[in-house]
Amino acid sequence: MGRNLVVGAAVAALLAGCGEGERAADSAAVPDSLRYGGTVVVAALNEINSMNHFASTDETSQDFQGFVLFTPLIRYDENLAPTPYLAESWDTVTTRSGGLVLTFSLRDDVKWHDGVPTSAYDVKFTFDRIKDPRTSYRYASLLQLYDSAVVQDSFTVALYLRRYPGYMDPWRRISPMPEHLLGDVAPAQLGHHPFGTESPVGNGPFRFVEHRTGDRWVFEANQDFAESLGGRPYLDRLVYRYIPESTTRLAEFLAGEVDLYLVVAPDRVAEIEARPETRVITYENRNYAFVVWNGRRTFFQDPAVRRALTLAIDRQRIVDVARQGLGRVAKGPVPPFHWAHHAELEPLKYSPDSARMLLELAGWVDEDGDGVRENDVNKASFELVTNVGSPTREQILTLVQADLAQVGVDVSVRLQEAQSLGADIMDPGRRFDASVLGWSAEFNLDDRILFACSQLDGQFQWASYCNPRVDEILDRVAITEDRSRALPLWHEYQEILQWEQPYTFLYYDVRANAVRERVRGVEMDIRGDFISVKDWWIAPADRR
Amino acid sequence: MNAYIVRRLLQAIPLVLGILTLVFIILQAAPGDPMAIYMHPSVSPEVLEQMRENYGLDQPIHVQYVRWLKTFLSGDFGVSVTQNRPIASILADRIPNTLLLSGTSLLLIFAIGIGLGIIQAVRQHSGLDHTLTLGALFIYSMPSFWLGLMLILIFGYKVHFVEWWPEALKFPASGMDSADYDMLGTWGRFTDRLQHLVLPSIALGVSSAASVARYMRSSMLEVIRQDYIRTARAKGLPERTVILKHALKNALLPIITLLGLYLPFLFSGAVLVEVVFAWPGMGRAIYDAIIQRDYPTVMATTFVFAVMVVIANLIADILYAVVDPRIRYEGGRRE
Repeated sequence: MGRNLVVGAAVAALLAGCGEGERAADSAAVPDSLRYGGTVVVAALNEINSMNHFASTDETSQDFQGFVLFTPLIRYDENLAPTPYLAESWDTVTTRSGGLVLTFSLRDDVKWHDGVPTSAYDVKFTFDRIKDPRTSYRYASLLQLYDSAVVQDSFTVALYLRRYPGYMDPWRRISPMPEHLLGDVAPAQLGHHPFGTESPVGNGPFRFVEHRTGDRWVFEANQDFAESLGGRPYLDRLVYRYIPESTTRLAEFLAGEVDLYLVVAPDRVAEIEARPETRVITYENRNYAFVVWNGRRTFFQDPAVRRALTLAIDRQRIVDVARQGLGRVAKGPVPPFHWAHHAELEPLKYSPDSARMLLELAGWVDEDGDGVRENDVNKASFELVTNVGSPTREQILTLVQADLAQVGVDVSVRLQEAQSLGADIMDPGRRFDASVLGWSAEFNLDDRILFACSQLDGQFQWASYCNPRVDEILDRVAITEDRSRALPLWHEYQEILQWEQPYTFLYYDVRANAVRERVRGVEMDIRGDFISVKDWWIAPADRR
Repeated sequence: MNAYIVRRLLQAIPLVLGILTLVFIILQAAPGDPMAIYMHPSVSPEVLEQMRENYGLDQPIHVQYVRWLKTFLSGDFGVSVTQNRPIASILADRIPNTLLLSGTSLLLIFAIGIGLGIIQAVRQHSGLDHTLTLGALFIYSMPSFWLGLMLILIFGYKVHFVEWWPEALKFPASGMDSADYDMLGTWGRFTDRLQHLVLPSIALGVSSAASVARYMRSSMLEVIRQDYIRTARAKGLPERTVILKHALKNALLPIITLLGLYLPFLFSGAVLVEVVFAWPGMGRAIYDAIIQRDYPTVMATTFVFAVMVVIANLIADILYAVVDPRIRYEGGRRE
């Protein structure tokens, strides 16, 4: 195998001189009928533990479930509007009591890989198991406002729910599971049923071939994938490999053993781009990085102090140095992809002078001339901590430390093992001063768990931030379906957080995935890495 | 001999149980929680509680311990908290992979180590001897994961872009086999697997090989000075026969005991090497399980490692008796 690939690389190197235009022409020249075949190997840091939708947790397994092995009811188009997938169409009726009946009409030509048609009973089965607490489905809160599911006929299912703005969003994420295979399994046993790891049966464009723990998942084209959804995928096989060490992953990718390398470290991007046979696909994803200030500590209680800290941190430099430009300076918890993002709001500008002024006004002055400000007996001194194993965050620690030293704030930095750090931060006692961390924003955003007063003792209210107006806004946007009415509220929310800075929002993350040029038709965006997996193809001459 | 083996195995039982109890206590004392990987703003605390209950993690520690011990003694390893699958089936997947890797390494260690040791002893104080000594010390002082990364960078990556480099010396950097392994023929599979074994087994074994070479050299030197070797030479036997037939068997004696020492060393080295080379073995399983606080999996993998070490030591002791007829374990007959 190695042999062919090296030759392929040499050919690619020759072709590279011809430029982008000819490559595009060349790709158009391969007729559709010749695009079928070939294997793509995907490698990433995360192990996919289960293909059982009831059991899995991480994004990569959800991606494989939603785009590779299974067929969710709907998808999002590029504007993040729901489009039909397993569901051909849907209909909503408002009930007299103000609730909603959402009726999905399913396609009748989508079959499980063992030949049984996917029906409304599968949707109801999945719905019921998710609602059953014994299943302990991780994202049961997705269906919190859903009440029940009723099968109307084999391909029609009606769902009863309370109205709320993002009520379609769960059906993008939930992959219906086969009732005929899992219907008899006790809910508490569903999670570790062999279905998920040894014999998953899906209904998506690819079917399961093999799983070796700690190593790989192998899928092959589902020849019988519904014609109405585009028929079989171009690729014959799709292999997912788990390679924990990043150097190894990169070596395998550059040597040609791996075609798609998910999540490339920023400092590797240039090396990959420099080669003619590989390129990097970047897109702004849903993650953002921030410094959380523990609002229970004296120093962080004053919003003016927190604002001063943000002003003193050169966030553009953090993006440039720690992320090599793969990011955009952030201004709040509503990232640019979200319809409610406040585009006119400018992020606070880097200004150490304003920071010093604010600190002085807030009573933090360096009286004894040791370079560190004091206020009464309190010193402007704290510990900034993050988890071990993220070079980016480690760099951020030192950058923040240096920036804050400039304005007379003394920061000591510490790395802590991820699990024990998590335990310290999630503990209601909040055993930390400040920490560099990240969140992933949902399409259906609900920030109450992060900033609501009612969550002060919850697991995720790390900032111990409480503002009744923010509570009111978050409660109202959670039930306001009319976006034009919700938008001013969302904007006000972002303005308040900008002013009060419970976090210093560092940057919106740009994800970098590396792909070999021989794999064509690869498109990725905020919806995921695998949105176009069915249309990936390799010209016959480029196959292994 | 049989009685001896049985007695040794019986003695191992409290030892292994003690190790497991200690590991259990240390695990519980470490901060963290197996459910932490599921903690996420959209996962409600009730769901986590339910999961804790499903896995029995809501019980006090001593109850968990007794419960674990009970299922464990009945031969059930339980279910992995993070992988959602019975641990027995995970072990069944992984143990052969680790045995394959450490077995190959062991072969490498002794073949290379003994070979070099003999050469050095025979050519004592020659330029070759000094060069090999220096080389051995150099390699011996390299940590295996670092060596692994270097091997990957050079033989798994850089040489793929060197035109004159022979194809046979370009190695895959990770995993046990290629993406199309299941589509290859028997011979193809064999060579594919062999190619994948080269770098990790070198990374895992080469420093031990260097130390075996040192032991072999001194042991050989000691034997060569003995009277019976002089006699053999005096008889006019060719030097090759003297060394390989008369001297080697006696010189090997202390080396065989090293086997028992190296096996645990190999297994612990496998943890790092398997991570670096993405080798799906026990080492990786235990590493991932510890990171994720997957308690039942850590216990099960520790158990397997403990048993392997006990068995390895036993094998070394038995081999010792086989090689040296003077050694007998009481109650046994000479074999």
